[in-house]
Amino acid sequence: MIPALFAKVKAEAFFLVLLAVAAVGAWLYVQYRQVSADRDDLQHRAELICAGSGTDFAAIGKTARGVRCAQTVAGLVKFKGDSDQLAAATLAQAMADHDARQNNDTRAARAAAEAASSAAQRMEMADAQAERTNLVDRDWFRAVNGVAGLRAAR
Amino acid sequence: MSTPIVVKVKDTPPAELLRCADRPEGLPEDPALIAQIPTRIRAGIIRLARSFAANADHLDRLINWNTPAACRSPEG
Repeated sequence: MIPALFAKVKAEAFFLVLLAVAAVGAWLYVQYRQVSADRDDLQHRAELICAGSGTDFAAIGKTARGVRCAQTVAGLVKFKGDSDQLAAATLAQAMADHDARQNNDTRAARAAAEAASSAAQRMEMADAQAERTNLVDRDWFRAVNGVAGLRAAR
Repeated sequence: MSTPIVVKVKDTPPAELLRCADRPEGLPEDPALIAQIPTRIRAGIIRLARSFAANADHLDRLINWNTPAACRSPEG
């Protein structure tokens, strides 16, 4: 039984080899088509990505394909990072400036209010003295100058 | 190449608006000068003096807000 099968196989050896070669060829062909389709798709996507960044994917002169595009994209990434950093620094500085102004102004306002309040007290006292006679002298004038925040006229 | 997304805009008002408050000399403080001023006039003078100081301080604070330390502090 088995020797008979062997004999038959031997007789058809050529055809079997051919079949095996054809199978391998077909398998390789399918592989090739898949790889080829995959490569075309990748190239297409690379071209789309590069076009989005404003450059060509294709080789230009001695520059290999994709190199200029990669440089452009790297530049864009750097630009975005630098811009973000500068914007953050500008905003932080603006906030710090505002706080400093606020503090300075609060201090100035408090000083002005204190000066005005003590000048008003002195004015009240000086005016009370002039109440009866309506006669005003140096003290009253000085108090008025104090309320106005002015120095005396010579 | 790098441009910030946010820039600080310095919108400076005209120089005329940034002039510090004018503080002229006030009344003379001469011991020889004595005046008779009715109460209502005295009250008016005091009102003027008070509002002068308030407005001048206000203006200086506003200018200092825009350009720090441009005008001397009010009590100076």
